Order: sequence, then structure tokens, then C-alpha cells
Amino acid sequence: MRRVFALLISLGLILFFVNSLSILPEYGNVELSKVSNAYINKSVNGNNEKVKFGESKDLEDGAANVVTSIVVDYRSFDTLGEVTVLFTSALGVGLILHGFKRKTYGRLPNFILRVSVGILLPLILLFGVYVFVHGHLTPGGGFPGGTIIAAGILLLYLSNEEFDLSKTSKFVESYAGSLYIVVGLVGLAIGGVFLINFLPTGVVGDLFSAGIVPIVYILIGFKVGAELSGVIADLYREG
Amino acid sequence: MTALLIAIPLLTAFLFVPFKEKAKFILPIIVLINIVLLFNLSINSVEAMGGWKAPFGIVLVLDSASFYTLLVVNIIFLIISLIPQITENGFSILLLILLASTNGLILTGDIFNSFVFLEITAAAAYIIASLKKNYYGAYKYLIVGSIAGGFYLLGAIYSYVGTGSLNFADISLNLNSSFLPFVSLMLFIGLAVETKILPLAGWVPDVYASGSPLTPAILGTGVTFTMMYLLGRIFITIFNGYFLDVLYIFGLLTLILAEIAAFRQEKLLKALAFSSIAQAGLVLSTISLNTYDAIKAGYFHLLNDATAKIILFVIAATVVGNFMKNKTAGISFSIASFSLIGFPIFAGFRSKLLILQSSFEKGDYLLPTVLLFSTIIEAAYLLKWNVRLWHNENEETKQIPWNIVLITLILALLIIFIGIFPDLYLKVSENITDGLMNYKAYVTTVLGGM
Repeated sequence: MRRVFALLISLGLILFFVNSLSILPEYGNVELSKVSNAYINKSVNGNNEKVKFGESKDLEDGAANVVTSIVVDYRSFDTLGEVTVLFTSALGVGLILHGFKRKTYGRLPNFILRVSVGILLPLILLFGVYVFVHGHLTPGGGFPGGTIIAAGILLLYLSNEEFDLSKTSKFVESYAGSLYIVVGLVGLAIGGVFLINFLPTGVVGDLFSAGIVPIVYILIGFKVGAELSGVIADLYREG
Repeated sequence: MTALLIAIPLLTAFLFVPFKEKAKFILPIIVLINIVLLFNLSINSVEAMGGWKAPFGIVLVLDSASFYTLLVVNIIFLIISLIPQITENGFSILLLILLASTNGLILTGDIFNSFVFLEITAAAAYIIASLKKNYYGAYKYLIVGSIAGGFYLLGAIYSYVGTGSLNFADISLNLNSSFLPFVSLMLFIGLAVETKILPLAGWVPDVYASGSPLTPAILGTGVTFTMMYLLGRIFITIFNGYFLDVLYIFGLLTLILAEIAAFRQEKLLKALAFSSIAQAGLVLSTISLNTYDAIKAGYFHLLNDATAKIILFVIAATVVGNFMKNKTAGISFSIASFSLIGFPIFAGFRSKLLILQSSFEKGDYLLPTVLLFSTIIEAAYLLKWNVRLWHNENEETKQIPWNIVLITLILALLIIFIGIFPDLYLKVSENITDGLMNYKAYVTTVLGGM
């Protein structure tokens, strides 16, 4: 009986979604809505002029990467929420796995692993930092950058049994997250609005442009890196 | 300034990660700050996050509905924070996050932002559900909740395709009518898990009956109230009454099936969990009658249910054995269960009477019939449990902390007070109804007189 119900519900959902396809616009023929247009031309408050890379100055938002301009500027409040989702999940892993011992093997890890970590780690960390520092110019940003850094930390955990970063990562996570909100509160104090971009936005495409966007992305990079390192430390236990 | 209601608890939660054990001391202070701040905000204000005006950016809307819902939810959090014994070490931080996310869910005027806050609420709720090593229940909740979250997100995407913007007011003005059935069905599936509507409420008994007083006390009251508000905001304000007939049917089915299931339970906490599902169904079908009186009665009943459920769940999970050894707690429990059944002079009587009145006014006879029938079942099992808890052979005793006894007693006295003078709760529910039904005022406040 249960299986019949499950089958019926799945069939109903499939029919529902196939039906809904007919109302969606055809692939490749989407008209940009007013909101998308305003985001791409960076003129929510302006007059819809085209943005020129390397020339346009002092726009309302200075990030050359359109995705970043939406994620960290126009809809920064959502990103604060997404950061909190990750934070809550990492906290939950820590709370649930609390009390288990760290897993030990009792012998040295592979020679190749130990030596190559010394060579790879600086490169991985450098790449991670590059990705989140240039988040407002190139594809990438705080979330992928932080993940890359956490991958480097994972290598350290694998290559050294004594290595432990859980205390440090908690403090970094705590302060990076708090500073994100503090940036928002400074905006509230200066501009009267939470998370307002209170710094000059500069020329589109410069490293030092886009106001608070790179600052926020660097904070997110640290926070995500620390959180995922914390998750690695929590999961690396004997069950 | 409205953003501070979300920013302050979130900032505290971030700051207290390295000192998780200390968070329980700061929680009541933060909730008090929030309540004081709430009274200093002006109603009918719209705040654009980052300075991007609606419908382009995210707005936080404080109208009479969201103001009073915030007040109710924050007071529930205050009550929970005053009984720190029920919170295990480190879980106070989750309550801070839950406070921030429910506040955000109530305030937000943006559909994707509401999805983000729904996700935070759900993530915190999954972890709270795993208290007392109840991993099976938490896992079930995680699976159902995540799939429902997916449906909610899909609904948000469809409404973006159909409108070209994510703003609630803009969606209600400009949504392409061919999208309406799809969007409303997907949003309903997304919300049905959290509001505990039956085909999707299978997780509730497993999670609520874990034995931890905190899980049902916060999820069954504060979070349910928030979700019911969001459901009202979406289906009454934004879709302006569309799709409510379907909700009405689901609500009635939930009410009757959950009451029958509650009657058959062998464990008190499971019975209470099913009763919680049933009350959610009742409130849902009442507010989907979509008249002023019905919505008012629905939220009034939800308030009464929340007050009674805090008492019932906290006492049921902390008291071991016989009520004769803990008379005060036993009396509070009995008062709360009588209010749930709807005996005269208790608060539940007032709200059930209002529900009956409003549905007769609408010319609807199905809801009163089902309500009276389910009240009989409810009376049967709640009285059975009262008798069983007052007269049993169990000689085990455990000292209940004085603050749990005191707070549940105060809430029980409040139930009797509301039963005699219901004006306090009626004012709250009237204001919520005003805000939800006044669709034109909402759109003009958010979009600025278009």
C-alpha cells in the first residue's frame, strides 16, 4: 500500500513539473526583467547607462563581477543569512560529535604525503587568498576561496597526527563573522542603513574598487575557511 | 534600525562560539534588549537593506502584523530563556540563531530572503531536534525539511520568473496569473512541513517526543507561530486569498486524523505531539476561511495553544511519576489541558467559541462539525492522561526546579485570566489580522505609493 502511494505521489509530481514547463520562457529567449537590468547596468538609483569596464567611475556599485555585485552588494543581507546557515551547520556538527576522541593510527603517514604537503600547502593557501581577494573582479569569492583554504588545512590534518587547529579556527570564525555584522553596523551608523556601501566605489575593474565588497568577501573567506576546517577537525574522530 | 532585531542576536551568537557554555547567561539579556528595541521602533516603517529600494533590494517591513508577531515570538523566547535547565550546554547559541532567524522571517519582505531565513530556522531546528541523542527523529526531520526547503526555493524561482522581482509586494501586484497555481502549491508544500500539516508532518511525533523539554517547547510554539504568520502573509496578503480552499481541506484532514492518532498513543509526549499537529490543522483551516473574524479567531486560538503547549510539554518532559508529589506542576498541567480541550472559563473555550461563531457567519458547517467531533476525542485522551498522572502507583520522585514550577504556574494563571478577560490576546490577534488583510496598505507601504 505504501509503495502504491509513493508511486502515485511521484507520478503526480512528475506530471506537475512537466505541466509547469509550458509556462516557463523558452531557453535562450528570456527577456531581462527590470530588476536584472538594473543590476547589470548598476543603476538601481541611476538612469540605466551602460557600464564600461575600466572607465566607469563612482557607480552605485563598483564590482566588475556582476554575480559578486548581486551577492555581496545588492543582496548582501541574503549572504549574511547564507553565512549563518553554514555557521549553524558547522556548529551542529561540533555539538553532535562532541565527546568523541580524535582518531589516531599510531604510525607516521606516508612519506610522499608528508613531503608534498610542505610544497603544496603554501600554493594552496596563496591560491585560496587570491580567489577571495579578487572576488569582486574575477569568478570566485569568499565561499570558494574559503573552501580552498580548508582543503589545505585538511592536508595538514592528514599529514600530521598531532596537528590541531580547532581552537584557533573557532576564534577566527567567531571574529570574522562578527566583523561582517560590524561592517553592516558601521553602515547603519554612517549611512543610516544596515549593510550600506559606505566606502567610495572607484573605477570598475581596479583591485581597490567596489567599496566594502572586497572587505566583506575577505571576511567571508576567513569565516568559511575556519568553519570548514572546524568541520574537518570535528569529523576526524573515532565513532 | 529594524535590522538590529536580527543583527544583535546574530552578532552575539558569532561572538560566543569560543565560549559556548557562557551563552545561556547572555540569552535572556539579548531577548530583553530585543523587546525594548521593538517598542522603540515606529510601526509601518520599511527599511531597505544596503540602501537598495524595493523592489530591487531586500526590505524589512514592520507593520502591525509583523510587530505583534515579533512581540509574541520574542516573549516566547524570553520565557524559554528564563528556564535554562531545559537547555543543554552549548545549545543556547542555537537559540540565539533561532531568535535571529525567526525575527528575520517575520520582518522580511522578500521571498528569497524568507527562504534563507527558513533555511537557518530549519538548520537550527534540526540540531535542537537531536537533543537527548534523538538522531533518528532529527534525521527524519532533516530529510523532510530539506526536500520541503527545495520546494520553497523552487516556488521562489517560479515567482521570480513570473514577476521579474523577488519582492512580496511586487509579486502580489505583478505575478503572471498562469504562474499562480504552481507558485502557491510549491510554497504550500515548503511551508507545510514547518507548520505541521499532515501528509508532511510525519516527523513531529519523533522529534517532539524525544524526552527533551526544549525541543517541543520552542519548535511547537515560537517556530510554529512564526511559520503560521508567514503562511498568512503569503496566502492572505500576497496571493490575496487564492488557494485557500485547498488549505482548508488539508487543515480539516490534519485536525481529524491527528486527533485520532493522538487518542491511540501510549506515550504522553507522543499524544501531545499529535495534539500539536491537530491544533495547527485547526488554525490553518480557520484562517483559510479568509474573513476578518475567522483570521482573528485563528490567531487567537494559536496564541492560546502556544501558551498551553509550553506548560504541557515542559511539565510532561520534566515530571517523573505522580503529580501528587508535585501538586503545583500538576495543577498547571491540568489547567493547560483543560484550556486545550476548551472547558469554559479557560482560554481555549473563548477561542473555540470564536472559531465556531466566525465559521457559522461564513455559512460553513463542515468546520464546526469536525471541530466539535475532534474536541470530544481531545477531551477523552487528555482527561485519560490527567487521571493517569494524578493517580498512579509510580513512587519515583524528582525535584523539579523552582523556576519551572513558577513559570508554568504563571502561564497557567494567564490562561484563566485570558479565559475571563480575553481582551489582551484579542488585541494582539486583531492587530495581526489587520496587518495581514490590509493588502493595499502593505503594497503602498513597501513600494511607496505606486
